[in-house]
Amino acid sequence: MNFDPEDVLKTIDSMKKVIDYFKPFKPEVKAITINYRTYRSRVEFVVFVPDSIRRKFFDIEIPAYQGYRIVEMRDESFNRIEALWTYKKGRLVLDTKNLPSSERFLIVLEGKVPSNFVKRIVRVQPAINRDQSEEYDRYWLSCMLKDVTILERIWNSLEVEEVSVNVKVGIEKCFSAALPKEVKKALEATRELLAAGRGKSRDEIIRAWSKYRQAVKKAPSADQLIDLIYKVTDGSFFRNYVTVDDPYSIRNVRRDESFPGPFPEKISVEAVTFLNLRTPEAKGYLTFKKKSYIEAIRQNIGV
Amino acid sequence: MARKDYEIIDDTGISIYVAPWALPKEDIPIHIKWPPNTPVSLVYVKVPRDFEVKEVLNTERYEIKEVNGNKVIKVFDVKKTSFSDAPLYFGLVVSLNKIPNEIMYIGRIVAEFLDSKGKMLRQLTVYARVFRPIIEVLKYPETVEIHDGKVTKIPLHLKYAGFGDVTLEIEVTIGGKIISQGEAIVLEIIRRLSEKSDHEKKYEDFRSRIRIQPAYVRNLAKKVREYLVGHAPLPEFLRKENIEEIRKELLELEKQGKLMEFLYAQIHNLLIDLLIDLLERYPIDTVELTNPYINILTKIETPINEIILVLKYKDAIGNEYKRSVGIKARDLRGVKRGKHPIELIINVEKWNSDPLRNVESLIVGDKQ
Repeated sequence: MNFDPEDVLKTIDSMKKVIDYFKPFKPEVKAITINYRTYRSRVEFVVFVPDSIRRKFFDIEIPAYQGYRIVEMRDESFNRIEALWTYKKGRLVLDTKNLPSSERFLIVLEGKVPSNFVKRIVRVQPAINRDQSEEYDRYWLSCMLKDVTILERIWNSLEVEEVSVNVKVGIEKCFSAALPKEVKKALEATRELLAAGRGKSRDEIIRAWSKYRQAVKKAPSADQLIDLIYKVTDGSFFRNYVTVDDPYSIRNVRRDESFPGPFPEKISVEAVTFLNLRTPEAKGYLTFKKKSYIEAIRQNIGV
Repeated sequence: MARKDYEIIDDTGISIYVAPWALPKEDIPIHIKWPPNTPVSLVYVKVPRDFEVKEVLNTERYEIKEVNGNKVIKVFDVKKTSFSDAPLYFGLVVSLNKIPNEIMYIGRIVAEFLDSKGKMLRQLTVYARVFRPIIEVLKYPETVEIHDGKVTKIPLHLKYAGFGDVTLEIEVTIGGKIISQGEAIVLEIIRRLSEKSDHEKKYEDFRSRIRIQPAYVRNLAKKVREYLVGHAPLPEFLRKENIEEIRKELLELEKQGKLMEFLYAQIHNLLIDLLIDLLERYPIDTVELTNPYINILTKIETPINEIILVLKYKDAIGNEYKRSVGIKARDLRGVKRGKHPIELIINVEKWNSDPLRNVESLIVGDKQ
């Protein structure tokens, strides 16, 4: 619940120091983002390299600092400048003599913040239980910045992007709703036949066999059922049956593999949003279109 | 716009939002926000005493006091930035710290926004709505008879009402001894092993192509191991002479690193049962049975006169609820009591379901 100020400041300082190395070139920070999911921080800033400097110095050197790397450089016309930075003895060196004729350059640095840092600045929570209707199941989503000043201390328009809220959507019960009684009857008939087969009564086997023949005509086999279960719990299939409200969007949908039962029980849906000083909180709903999903299961099994 | 009693945005842009529904003890986030030009300098938020204040976010200074049966959170100042157009905001996280008796518990939350002279600018009221599930026993036999070597059936008619998905387990107390349902699938594996006559046959064809969650098989293996290798007490009906032999064989398989593979094959044989189990596990949309077949087999030497059924159900956050019924038992077993174990089959024959739906759009405010 509480911040450890030392830890947070360390992160802030390391980011600021990177930009400080560009001081002779009057760095102007355009955007800083921290990605909640990947812990990646991205700093975009513009440097001013007038012709006079370019003539005076041969190279621009900065220390390769704490895992930050230059991922992009563009000129005034927004053309990408390739491969002018090289790594020499712990320093990143820019070969200025081959720079295009532009005085302003956009530089993008990328690095990582400690994994616990994002959790300390943002609070996320989904509803643990759904609200349901005949048509859908809904989960509320809540995201809040814990302390806006921490963001501003890094930079005044810092944005935390892809703040993710993970919702585990229960789907196991959809199978019993989707599969008609015939499926269960066929499974029971199969079970009886297997039991009769183990016994010695010929009459019993004939009776079970005839019941089995009748029942399986109208239903898929056990193997087909299992294939169906895996098909409809695949992330790409399930994705069509879940939506989120603005400002959230869906990032990832995957079958949750951490469950103790024999078959998949839940689908993990990751909703993402962004937070910044102007939007310090976000709320909304994740909606699972249960009725359409059950209908889709029925269509896939052909019943 | 539809009226909501968990969120208000007034004409000056002051807003308060409380998460629209929660289970008992679940964290309930509250977002409170106002535009930068609003002269708010002090905010009081009153929540009922039964709520615990768990977090206060983005404030410079606050205090919590109990006043007239309410908890009052006094927020002196919120954390601000130099952005003149950024909204001012703070967050609270509360939770109901008890399990209510009723399906719905409504917590009235009043936020008062004051200016620097102490004048109230606005008072907004929202409601935290906490819901719980309730399972009732509508019908059960008042008396059952227990005969030598006969199964005693206990049919039940249950009702689910309220809110929240639950897992239900039925526990039985006979003569002061608590007997749970046991691990049906695990015991079924052991039973099948013990009933196969040809030991050579049962270990062939290990490899199975079945797509079963590895975690499930691991867990199953662990439980089978607990019974057979770890010597957990086995139910009476499994105490066959050859259990000791199976025990040895499984230990041998484990040594060879083949136990999991072997169990996969056993599960393959149980596939039909697992699928039926999947279809029967949810008798109604909101209830998951930990075991659809409730067979109780126990050996009790002394005469019994009562069977107590305890319905234990848990909601998604892990709150546990209980409902018990006592059934009179006429123990008609022969003089050599204890010779026959008591075998009960508890079957939920009928379910009534009355879940609360669309709680988001429920208006509770007028009831206060």
